[in-house]
Amino acid sequence: MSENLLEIRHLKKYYSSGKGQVKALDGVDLSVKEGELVSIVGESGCGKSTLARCLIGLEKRTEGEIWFEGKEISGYSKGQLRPVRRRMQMVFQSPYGAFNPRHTLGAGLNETAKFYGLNRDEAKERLSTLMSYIKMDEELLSHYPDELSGGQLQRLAIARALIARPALLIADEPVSALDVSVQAQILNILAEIQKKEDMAVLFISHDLSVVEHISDRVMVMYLGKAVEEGKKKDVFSDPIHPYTKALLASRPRERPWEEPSRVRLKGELPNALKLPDGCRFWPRCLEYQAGLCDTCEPEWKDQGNGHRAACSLVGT
Amino acid sequence: MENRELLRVDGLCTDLITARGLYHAVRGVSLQINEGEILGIVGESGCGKSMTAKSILRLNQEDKTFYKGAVYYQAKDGEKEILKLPKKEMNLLRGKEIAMVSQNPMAAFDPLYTVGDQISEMICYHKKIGKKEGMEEAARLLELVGIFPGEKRARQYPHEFSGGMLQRAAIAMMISCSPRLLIADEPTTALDVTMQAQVLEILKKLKDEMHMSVLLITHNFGVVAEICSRVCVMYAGQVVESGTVEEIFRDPIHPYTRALIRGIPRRGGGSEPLETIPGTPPRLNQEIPGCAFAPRCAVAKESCYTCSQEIWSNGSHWSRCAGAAMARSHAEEQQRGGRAG
Repeated sequence: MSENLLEIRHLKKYYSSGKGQVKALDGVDLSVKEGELVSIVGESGCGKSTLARCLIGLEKRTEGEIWFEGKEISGYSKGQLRPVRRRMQMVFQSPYGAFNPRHTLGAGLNETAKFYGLNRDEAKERLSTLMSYIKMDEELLSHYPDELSGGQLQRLAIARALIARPALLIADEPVSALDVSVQAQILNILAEIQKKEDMAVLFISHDLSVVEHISDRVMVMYLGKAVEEGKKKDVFSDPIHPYTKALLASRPRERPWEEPSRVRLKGELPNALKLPDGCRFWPRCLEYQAGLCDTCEPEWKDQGNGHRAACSLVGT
Repeated sequence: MENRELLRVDGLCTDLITARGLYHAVRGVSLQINEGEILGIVGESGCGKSMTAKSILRLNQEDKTFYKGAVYYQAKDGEKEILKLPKKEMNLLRGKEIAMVSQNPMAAFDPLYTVGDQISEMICYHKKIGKKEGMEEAARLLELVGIFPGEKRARQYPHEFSGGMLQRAAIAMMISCSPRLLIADEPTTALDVTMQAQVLEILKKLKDEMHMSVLLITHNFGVVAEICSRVCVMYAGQVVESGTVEEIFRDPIHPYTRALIRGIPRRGGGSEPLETIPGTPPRLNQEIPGCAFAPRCAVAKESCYTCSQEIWSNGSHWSRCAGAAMARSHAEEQQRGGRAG
């Protein structure tokens, strides 16, 4: 179909509740090339985790297409998804729930290897490579999950996801539950493995500094829609969308002697059941123009180089 | 006014009785909070920062906790030693003089009562006023922390608030009796950056406008850089370094502080590997001879494992590792000598 490893077209996911419909994803497009690290960033409730769950088939999309390795997988049944999951794996936020407390870690990892058809020797070899990637002693595989720290478990969760050599790893807030010093370990390991295994990573996070550190490309989401995307450098040093600008400005100072930022995003995320007309961001936007922003759905405007934003004010 | 002491913790040790034996959660912490300043305590989970805060308010289960050391509070009617205060007097202190906001705002409110009810309950207890006045006061406080319209919001239930709003409402509840010290334990950790910015702004406002002192516990150096004036870095139940924010960020002395700061991704930096700290923190159920950080320290000497560390200080800046301070001034001297030569 195309050269992209993953291509999402107009993906929608609606949940209906007694009070109406929640548009968790409302027409998101995204592509990930082989070996690329793409991050999705946004506040809680923006739909970034829903996107990940739709990709791997934990949720059924309402509308839209998901092309992965040249096949349209969004309508696949459970059985059809099984071979796809070998190529697309996921790591979650909390490593504590990722392992069976009654099995040793080695037993858990070997079971995964067996499931993906590795024989005993292959499994042993693969595990020892992976353990060296995550810089952990193989001896630890004989331990139980409760004997290890959160950082160690998260490293093992990453190793387990990599057993079948996936082409794409989806990491949903993999470092949010961890301490700063452990966070650095995980980020280093992810970056290293991504290069060594030539694997693409879809990295989901709300932490802007982490995203800025690790990504090749970034997509910013707000209330179920993408608002800006581009190369990391372009998005972080030259943001276009007022939401991206406000998000970057609300980060605390990095050093105490820096000038404090005066841009403050006012208000809260609007009620997901009653989304504003036009651009979803206008009630909080600092550059809001009446009559334009609250009536027209913003269109994507390309700045070249793959850097684009969905804002009616760009170029006016 | 700036430098008048409000609270002084002197050699505080907190030992907890657990199923696995005695746990030394706090191992000799000394710190001081002045009037109208924000003091940050940073450290990783399990380093004893929350335990220090809880000990200051004596919130640990009394029959399973042993305290050593002292906590001096400068009350309006003279100095009080908190750890020796009778229960009744302690209850009068909590909430009225020293209040605490915790990490999880959802847990701070009872889902069955309106937010206003819960805020006014505390006001009525301490100020001995009626329910109606209490509710009016609650509405005013909600508006103070940016929740509008206060009167309507006060009649709503916690589930009608978002996480960030609930955290601000928790702050409103805690400042309702104008405490002189607010202990904020990871107040922004559960929040998004945009909400974090709003909560930090409120804390800053309380300090500037109400001259409140804040003890801010966090693991986020960005939060420290944003609003603290002084910082204590904690490791394994001890303060390993303290100083003004400038000193800690510009010139960290202790190897642990240095490694922590270097492990944070820099803005505009490349994707080169971050510095990591090998190993894990020690278990605190046994005595640790020597420096607790030595097994993970890149510059530890043999003596670090056995002897207690010499302390280095130049007035405001203090570090538990004199060796690192000496090595640093030695390197500086050599550099200067090299340049002169």
